[in-house]
Amino acid sequence: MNLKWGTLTSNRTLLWTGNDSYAKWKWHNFRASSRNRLKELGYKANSITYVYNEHGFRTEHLHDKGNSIVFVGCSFTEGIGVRFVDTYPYILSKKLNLDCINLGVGGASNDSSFRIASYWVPKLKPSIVVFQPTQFCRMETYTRNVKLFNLDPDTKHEYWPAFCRGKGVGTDVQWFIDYYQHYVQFDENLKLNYDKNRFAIEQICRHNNIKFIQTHEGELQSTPTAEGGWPWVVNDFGRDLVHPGIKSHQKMAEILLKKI
Amino acid sequence: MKKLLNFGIGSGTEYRDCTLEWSRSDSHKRWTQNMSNPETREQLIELGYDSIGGVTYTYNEHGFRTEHLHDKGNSIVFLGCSYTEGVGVRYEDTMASIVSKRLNLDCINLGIGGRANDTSFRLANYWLPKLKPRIVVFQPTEHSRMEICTDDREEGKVFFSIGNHVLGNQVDFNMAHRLNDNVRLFFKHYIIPNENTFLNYNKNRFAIENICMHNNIKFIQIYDGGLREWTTLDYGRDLMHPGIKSHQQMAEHVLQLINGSK
Repeated sequence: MNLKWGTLTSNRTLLWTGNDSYAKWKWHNFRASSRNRLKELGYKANSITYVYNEHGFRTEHLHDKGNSIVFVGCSFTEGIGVRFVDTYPYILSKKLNLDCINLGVGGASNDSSFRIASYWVPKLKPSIVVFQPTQFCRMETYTRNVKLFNLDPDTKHEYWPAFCRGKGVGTDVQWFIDYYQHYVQFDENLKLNYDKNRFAIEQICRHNNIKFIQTHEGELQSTPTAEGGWPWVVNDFGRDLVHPGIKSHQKMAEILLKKI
Repeated sequence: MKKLLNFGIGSGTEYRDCTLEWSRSDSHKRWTQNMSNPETREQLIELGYDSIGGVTYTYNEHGFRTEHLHDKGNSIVFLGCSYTEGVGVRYEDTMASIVSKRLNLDCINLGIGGRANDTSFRLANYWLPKLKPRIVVFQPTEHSRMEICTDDREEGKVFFSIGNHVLGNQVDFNMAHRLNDNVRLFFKHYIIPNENTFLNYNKNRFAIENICMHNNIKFIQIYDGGLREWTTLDYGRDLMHPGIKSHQQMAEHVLQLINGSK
């Protein structure tokens, strides 16, 4: 069984990734309103790099560090759209003087967070685990040919490979897509899956005598709203103008510091 | 906001607020077949199940083979599948009933035949904070089973447990015709990679244990694996599920786990 993977990208340094793509950057620069916003926020084409380790996580090599803090979650935790040093995991780790192990994966589901926590947390034995719940409607499954598959309702055909590891993507998984479309119609499935994942991650921490912290209760709001779990700062975005920006990450780090 | 199903619901409508002579795999049809086969007839005679009326099933308003559910304080809750429900044996011969009596605790048996570990989680999540029992005993079922909320072609929106028993040719369980085609197809693919069933089993057991921890309830898992770890010494009336001796043996095992001697 192979449960350890993060993103598709292993051992590589990228200038663009996921939603923070060069195509999107060009598109934003083509439109005056988004070009001005990017300018206000101070982003440049070369201002961010994404360094992935051998397991596809935007973090250093993974080994038992003892004095560390582990983060599981989606792109908000990975820090898509901001520099690594501006992510809330990095800021919080620095304030706590702990090694930062960021196991957040863009496009991941809460299932992914459970899988990654169940594999890595007993091995890494950090002092603290921070779980950032993502949208409830995402789900992850293993398939015979495609080793991992995450879906959410916004997933389009052309993006599927970004969430998969293996061969045969998009051809032999129609059964999963059909099922998924049925599954997400029922809020009961989404609520139960969220509860199960968060309880299970907390229990893994308990078994390993690790402090468990959840960034927010309930579903992640993928866009800034008056209510919702992620502490969005108004008009503060990452370079992709989708994900939280530097101030939002700082705010999240402060909230977590108080909780801890 | 769409109306959500009651997360605490047990068996389907045909098993609510009623007493049945036969239930699930312990069906009259199966018994008649077994009585007409010399080999199985001999077994039934040996076990004392050669006449009708030895076993009855009383289900409460939520579809559980147990009494009305309310905060009893001094109770023990059992979660699991047909083995815990006690299909094939009388209620007082079930592992759950024996253990409760020995501990002098009210027995709340939330085991449901044919259901998945997902079901045990769902019921634990709903009922444990309400019932606040002293102890929870979790009996894992086959890891390959899964439960989802879907459309049942006969009952409408339900929590449906799917497993090989549902899709296979078992005379009393074949409900494939009631299931949404997409769910059926997904399940056939889902159970092939071991990772899916392994992760789901672990997720359920950790989550149930976590609910117990939050509610200050002692958590006992009767074995760490699949259904085959329940040793069958003898059979119930359906010649398929554990019999009286098997339940007694499992009760002793559970009592040892609770007392910390195992």
